[in-house]
This record gives sequence, structure tokens and C-alpha cells, in this order.
Amino acid sequence: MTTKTSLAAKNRGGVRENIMKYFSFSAIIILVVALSLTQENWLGTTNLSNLLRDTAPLMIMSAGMTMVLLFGSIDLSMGAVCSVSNVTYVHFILAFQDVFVSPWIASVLGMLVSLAFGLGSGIALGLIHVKLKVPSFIASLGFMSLWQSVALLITQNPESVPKAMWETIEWYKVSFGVLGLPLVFALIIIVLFYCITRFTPSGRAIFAIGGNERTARVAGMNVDRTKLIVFAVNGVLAALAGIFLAANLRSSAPTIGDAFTLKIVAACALGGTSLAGGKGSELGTILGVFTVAIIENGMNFIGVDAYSQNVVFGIFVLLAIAITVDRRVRGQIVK
Amino acid sequence: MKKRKLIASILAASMLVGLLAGCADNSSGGNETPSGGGETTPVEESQEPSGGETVDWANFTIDPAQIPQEKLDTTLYLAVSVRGLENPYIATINDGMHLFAEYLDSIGQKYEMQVLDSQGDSAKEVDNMRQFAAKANGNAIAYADPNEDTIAYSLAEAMAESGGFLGTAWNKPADVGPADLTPNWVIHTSPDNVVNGYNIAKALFESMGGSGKIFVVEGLLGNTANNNRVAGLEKALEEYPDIEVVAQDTGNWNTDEALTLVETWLTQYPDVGGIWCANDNMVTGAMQALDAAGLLGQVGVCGVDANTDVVAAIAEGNATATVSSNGYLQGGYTLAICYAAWTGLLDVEALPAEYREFATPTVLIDSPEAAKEWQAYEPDFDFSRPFDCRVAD
Repeated sequence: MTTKTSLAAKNRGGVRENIMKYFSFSAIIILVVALSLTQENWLGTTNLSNLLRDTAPLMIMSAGMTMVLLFGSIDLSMGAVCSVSNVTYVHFILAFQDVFVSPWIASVLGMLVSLAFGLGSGIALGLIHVKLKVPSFIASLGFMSLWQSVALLITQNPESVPKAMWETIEWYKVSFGVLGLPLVFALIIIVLFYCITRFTPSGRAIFAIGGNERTARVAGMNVDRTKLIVFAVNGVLAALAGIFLAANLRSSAPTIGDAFTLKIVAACALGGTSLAGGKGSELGTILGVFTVAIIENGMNFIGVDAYSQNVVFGIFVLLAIAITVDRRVRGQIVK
Repeated sequence: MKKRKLIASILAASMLVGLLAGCADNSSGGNETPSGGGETTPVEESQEPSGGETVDWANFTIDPAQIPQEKLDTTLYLAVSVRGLENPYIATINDGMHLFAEYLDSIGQKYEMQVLDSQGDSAKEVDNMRQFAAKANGNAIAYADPNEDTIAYSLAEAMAESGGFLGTAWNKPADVGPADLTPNWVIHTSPDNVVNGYNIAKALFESMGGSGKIFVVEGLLGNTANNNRVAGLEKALEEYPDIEVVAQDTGNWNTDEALTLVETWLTQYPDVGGIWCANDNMVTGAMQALDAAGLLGQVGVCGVDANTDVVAAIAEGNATATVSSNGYLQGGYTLAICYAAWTGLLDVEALPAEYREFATPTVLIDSPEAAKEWQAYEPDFDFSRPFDCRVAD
């Protein structure tokens, strides 16, 4: 009798775990089947190559956010950092296109300046969080507001990449079959992070910090340094996404990153990364990103109007997190 | 054990899905070839007649009898890509698409219509266009009002990637144009804003008797439409030397900012004779300021866009002039020209540059009678003559 109930309980737990693990996987399958059966050209090469190219910026930023979430923090400023990097890059190109002999020099320097900005903003956020003990949520919220304004101060109107410079951003449109080069970059980055967080001691420290930061400190881990490095990397990734978006649209827009903040968190959560820290995986994030991308793409494909799209998206994210959240811990306190 | 079973069943399910997806892919792939092939042949055919003598493009006519039956039976996807249908002008563009759809009904073309609303987000507008073009798989025609001039090329490129046809309006950078993406970026049109700015200024100055003080409320500084309208104003000012600009600033296309500006200026220059605004939203603000100062109806106000409230004010004698860009015409005719390109009747490559980028006509509303006429306006176009929408140079 006792064995039976405990077995049943165990099974229930098992099923729950599977639902959590495979939620986005099954969501992708259901969405792909439904869309390909109902929409004639959804699996056509044009749409697939759109999907497998334009997902790159979200993938890159989610790769960074996953690590931040893993140690129990959050970075809400990523979208705004992405905007600043985006306008900086194009502004730099416009300002210096005639200074250098080759357009490539201006373009590469512009990228480096943008990435350096990302690094700086990440370090600044990390220092404020680690040294001044400001919770990452509120610190990054402050930075979000700050960088949003900075982007608008750099340029209020979107600026075009001049035609003479187009050759330096053509790489964005390179693709192998339906798989675009930007997504290849993004996948390399995310797999690299997966390996680091799984197989290196400093990477595993991230999980330890997320699981129980006090224990991690007592165990002699350099918690502050780990956090600082992750925030810095995160800033660089957000800046990289900004450059990708500039190459994609051949222009800049000071508010381009704003829409990403919710999408990044949604993708990580759908990928099974716990918002409380300590649990999750970069590989899950890949699935989460594709779930978000397919939902968006599918709604546009079907022709759901712009206002309803946000409603559908919001409901989906709430549902997904409600289903996948880990409620097994007795007496759990949700803050 | 149970867990393994679950994993196994999920794997099996995914394989099944893979198979299904494979089938779906094949079927759509199968569809691609005939429609793609059907598309190129008529274009080549139509090159022959145009190769010889010069073509009378102004009188180019869509002859339904020449459209291959195969094209008529293909579902054509129509779209207008705009920001915010709640704006009355934007809504008329959508109405223009519906008018053109009636024409398609009359010639027996199969089609589906869609509004791509960017909500003022440039990246979203490009995404929408990409997905629309992918969905239509080459059988797409669209009108796009790029949210910012910077994305005009990206929009056209999105269409070109899948083989659809696009016409843009209003905004594009000076160094790129339809010629960069022949044949898919068919045309770029815009009402002539220099003429618009000049015409409303002239109407305003005439209403003031040719002399007096005016305020100038500009739109977003650096914006092409604003610069051109102001250039038109300056041209008119040269012709009327007794008109004096006593205050000039930007209201950023905004009702509120225009209200604040005019309120401030009115305290300094209560004897002002007229207010020139770069758009009608700012006219609304200026009229509110005049109303508060008890000057409504005594001081002339003019703008561009033919917003419903401003047209009503002109009808009542409270405003002087506005210009309608005729969104019905812009939306409807742009689609008509793209349709001609899609059917293969119009050879985009042979089309001269002045038919790829041109100005569309506007309607000047400068009297209560004209305003009432405009309020009762029922657009009626002959889409079989698509270049009727072009203002000859």
C-alpha cells in the first residue's frame, strides 16, 4: 500500500518533470505541424530562411540572459544596450566613412566601438550590483532607462547605412541553404556557453551561486568575480545583437531594442531556465528562442493584427511559465 | 521506466512530425515551381513588343484579355503596409486597396487582402513585409509607406527575395530607389510637398489680403516632407514681400507642441494675421490656441493632410486651407501598377526612370465650398489605366 502511493507520487513527479523539460520542445512541434498544415507556404524556403536568420539577435541576447538568470539575477537593460550599440554603430559609420580609405575600416572600428560600449555598460551594471549591493532587477531597470535616453540623444531619427558601405554588412545576408550566417554565429555562441557552464569549474560556479549563493561563498568561490564577468559578457552580447540588427535593416533605430526585453525573458523561461536561479540550460534556451520566434512568425503569417498579437504572446508566456515553474519545494515562498 | 517510455513516445512523435513536415515541404515546393515558371514567361513575352518602338507609357492600359488564365486563377496577395489605421489619412489608403480589389473582382482575379500595421515600429514593418512576402511566395503586390525613409530599401528587398512586387510612397533615402531592385521595387511615388507647402501658403496670404504677420509651425526638423513644405512656403514668401514671418519654430508634427508654441506667440503678437503649419495635427493645436484667445475664425490657419477636423473647420470658415494627398489614389493606383508588373503586362525593366519615381496629384481645399465637396468625395478610379495617377512634369 505504502509502496504503491509513493510510486504513484513518483510517477506524477516524473510526468511533471517531463512536461517542464519538454514544454517548448512539444510547443515547437505542435506549432510547426499546425502552421505547416494550415499555411501553404509556411515551410517554404523563403519563410524558413527568414526564420533561420532573423532569430539571431534574440538568440544571442538570450544566451547571455540565461547565464544571468542561472545565478539568480536578471538584466533588464539588454534591450536598451542593444539600441545604443545599434545607433552608435551606424552613427560612427556615417561620421567616419570618408575618413578612412576603405569602408571596411570604418565599419570594423564602428563595431569595436559598439562592442566596447557593451562591455563597459555590462561592467558598470556588474559593479553596481556586486559592489554597491543593489539588486540586479532595480540596477538594470535604472540602466534600461538611462540607455534608452542615451540612444535617443545620439540620434532621434533613424539613420541609414550609406550605399557605399553596404558591402561591409552584406555578410548578414549570407546563408547556407536556409540557414543564415547570423544564426550560425548565434548557435556557436550559445553552444560555447553551454560547454562553459557545464564542463568548466568557473562555469559550474554559476549554477552553485544560483542554487545557494551563501553556500557558494562559504565554499570559497569568487562569487563577485563570476557575476561581474557574466554581466560584462552579457553587455557585449547585447551590443553584438545591436550590430546584427543594424546590418539586417541597413539602418539604425533608437528604440529598436525595447521590444526585446520581454522576448528575452520569455525565451529563457520557455527554455526551462528557472527565474529563481540555479536551474536551466543554454540548450533549453535554443528551444525557447525558437518557440518565441515561431509564435511571432506564425501570427504574422496567419495575419493576426498587431494589437492582438501582444495579447496572444502575453497569454502564451504566462501559461508557459505557470506550467513549467517548479512547485515541488514544500513551503516555497514566491517573491 | 515511465520516463523512458515518455521520452520514447515523444521521439516517435517528433519523427512522425518530421515526416509530415517533410511532406508539407514537398507539396509547397511542388507549388513553387509552376508558379515561378509561369511568372517569368509572360515577362519575357511582353519584352518583344516593347523592344521595337517607343511605348506610350502614359496611356499604358491593363487589358484583362491579355492576362494569362493561369495568373487569374492564382491567389494574389494584396497588402498595404502602414502605421496605425486609426489615422484617418492612413485609413483612406486601406480604402484605396479595397477599391482596387473591386477592380480585381471585375476582371476575375483571385486574391486575398491584408493590412500590415507597423504601429510605428520600423523593424516590425520590415518583419511584417518579409513574412507577408514569404507567405505569398512570389504572388504578392503591396503598397508600403516606410515608417522611416531608412527602411525603404529593406522593405523592397524583403519583397524582392520572394519575387513579389512593391511600390513605396513618401519616404526613401536619396541614394537608393526602385532602379536598385528592378523589377521587384516597381515604383516610388510621393505627392509634391514643395507644391503643397506653396499652395497652402498662397491661399493663406490671399486670405490675408497679401500683407501681415504670420507664424510658422514646422514639422520634425530634418524630415524630408517638412523641408520640402517649408521650401514651398519660402517660395510663396518671395512672391508676397509684404508678408512678414514674426515667429518660426518646430511643433514636431505634434498637436500639443503646436498649441504651446502658438499660445506663447499670441501673447507677443496678438495682431498676427495667419498661421502656416506643416501638417494638420498642428493646425488642430493652433486652432485650440486661437480659440482660447478668442481669435478663432479671425486668424487664417493652413496645413497639409486634410484631417477630418480641419476640413470641417474650413467648411465652417475657421481655417483657411489644407491639402489632401488622396490616400485612395495612392493605395489603389500603386497596387494597380504592381499588379500590371505581376501579370507580366508591364515590363518594369523597360519602364523609363520618370515612370519609376514620380509625383502623385493632390487636392487643394481652400474654401468652404471645396471643403464640403471634399467631405462628399466618393473616389472613382479607372485602374486599367494605372499611370493616370502620375503628375506629368
